[in-house]
Amino acid sequence: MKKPAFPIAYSETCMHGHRAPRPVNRAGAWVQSLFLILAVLFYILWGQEEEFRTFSIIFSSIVLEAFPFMLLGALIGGLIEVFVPRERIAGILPKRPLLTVFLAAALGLVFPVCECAIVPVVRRLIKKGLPLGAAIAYLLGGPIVNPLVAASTLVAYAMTWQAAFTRLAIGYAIAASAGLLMDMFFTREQAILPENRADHGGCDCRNGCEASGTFLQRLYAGLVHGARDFFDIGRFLIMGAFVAALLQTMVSRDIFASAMGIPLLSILLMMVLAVVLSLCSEADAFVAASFRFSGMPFSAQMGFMVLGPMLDIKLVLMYLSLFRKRAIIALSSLTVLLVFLSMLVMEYCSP
Amino acid sequence: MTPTIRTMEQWFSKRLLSLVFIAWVLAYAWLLNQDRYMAFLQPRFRGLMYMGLFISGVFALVSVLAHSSGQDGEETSGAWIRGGFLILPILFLVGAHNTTLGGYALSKRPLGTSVPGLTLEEKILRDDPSLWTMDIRDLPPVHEPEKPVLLSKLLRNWKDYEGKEVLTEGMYHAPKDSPEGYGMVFRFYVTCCAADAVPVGIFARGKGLDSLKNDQWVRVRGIVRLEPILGQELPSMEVSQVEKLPPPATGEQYLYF
Repeated sequence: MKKPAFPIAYSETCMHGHRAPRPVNRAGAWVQSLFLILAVLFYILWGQEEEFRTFSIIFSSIVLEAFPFMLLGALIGGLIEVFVPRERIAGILPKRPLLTVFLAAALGLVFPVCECAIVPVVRRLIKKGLPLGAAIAYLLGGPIVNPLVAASTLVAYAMTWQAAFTRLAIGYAIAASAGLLMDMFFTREQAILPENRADHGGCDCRNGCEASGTFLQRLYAGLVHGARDFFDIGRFLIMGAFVAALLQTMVSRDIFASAMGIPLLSILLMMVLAVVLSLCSEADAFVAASFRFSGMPFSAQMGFMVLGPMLDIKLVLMYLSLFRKRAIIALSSLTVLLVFLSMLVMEYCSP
Repeated sequence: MTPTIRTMEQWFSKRLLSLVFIAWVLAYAWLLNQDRYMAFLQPRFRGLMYMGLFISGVFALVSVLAHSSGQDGEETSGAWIRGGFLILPILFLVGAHNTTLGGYALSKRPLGTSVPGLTLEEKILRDDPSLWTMDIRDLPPVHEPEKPVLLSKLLRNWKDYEGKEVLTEGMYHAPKDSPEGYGMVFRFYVTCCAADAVPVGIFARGKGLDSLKNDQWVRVRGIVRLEPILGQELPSMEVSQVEKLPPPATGEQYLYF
């Protein structure tokens, strides 16, 4: 067999002698195959219906908006893989874990990425040895605590800086809290899938290849890693967008108007809406702001803007490429709880 | 499985990564051609489309190179599922690119129909999503001689138009539960993508509306005023003239922030 010039592929033929990435398990393969077949049947059988056209437009628009960011995230992740040695990451991080989490939650300010791009980036950083708490803090905080989101929130709320500041501050606090709490309850082994851990023998460049080869060879290797990453986790985005579009097509948003007089219910419903709509964190402020004219409490709008970038249907499915199921359930529940409690405090305790 | 099918399956299987990215390069090129992406996204997201095209192109290139140098090895059966999911949206894109959100979407979304005040503070207190738009793209009218007023502009500057005769354009829809004789003329506002589109429009009644089918594009002329509808004072038009219009081009169907 021809020996590759540079170690890039994770397959049975890998020159490191590591095993291939985790294949889709049998049950997962059946479910995903069924999903695909039903989606195609759905297209063939109901293609001419108005409901279907609405669904197609919404599904396509969610995918089209998210895809470039996810491609970018995969590209950045691939380049991190080959250009950033593990030792560099370890050297940059503070020695105290607590400080690492607080720092990671604000990393989006200097390295802004939206929620679609952040999953492949964090996946690579975890492989490079980023601690669990810090990874979660960046995963949740990155798409909110960043200048692009601050700017879009400012514009959406007619340059009301309090709205943007509140969003970023609460997002930061929740991301850091979730990171610390997950660190307390889970070890890396318990939370992260084996193939994403630095201590696992999958084939990536953590075994020294980032230090070898010419610049062009490393660039090429990084790009192939990025392409592979995208190919590996892109399906979760598609599944999430599909379900979100289906719910958007079938469920009327008017049901949310009925709860506007009851703050507690409004917060819950807006949080549900954030999960269902699966909007980009740089766009969701405009949708949240549209509710303020119809009497929706500010805390409920904020619940929508804080939870959406941390947890929505497509994100939960994308987390499947990163964490074990138990950790996803814990992280999702924790995020929902923290956002809900923060919004209750805002609604009932703020002046 | 016959040897021919097995050979084909192996051929495609080994090239799946490259084929998926090549398919997306073609899809992005197709969407950018004639601005087809505007059926789904804001025009200002054109740059995003180019970014997608560029990165997909780079990934396609390296995938082809990796394959030709024998570095991508054998694919697992799961690769077919991964590839299938990544191709799926292209099917829906092609099917939906020449359609637009219509009355069905309207029925699922709250309508921003109430009237603005004069100051920003008053405007913020009122129920009109169009008010918080600082920079609405003024789309060219479909027909030149008499420029119709955009529905967004009409509602945003209601005091200037109230009680006067106005010419405007939009889609017509008569919901089943609307008051007798009333329909709606509406359009969708898009912030980023069609998933966040908010309908904006006015109620309409008068001659010529009964014969219209839902989702028909129309140009209507009539006097606009506030009328008690469903327990609220809402903008409406007493229509005196209706003209059916063909659907506008892709980039002119929505109003954009």
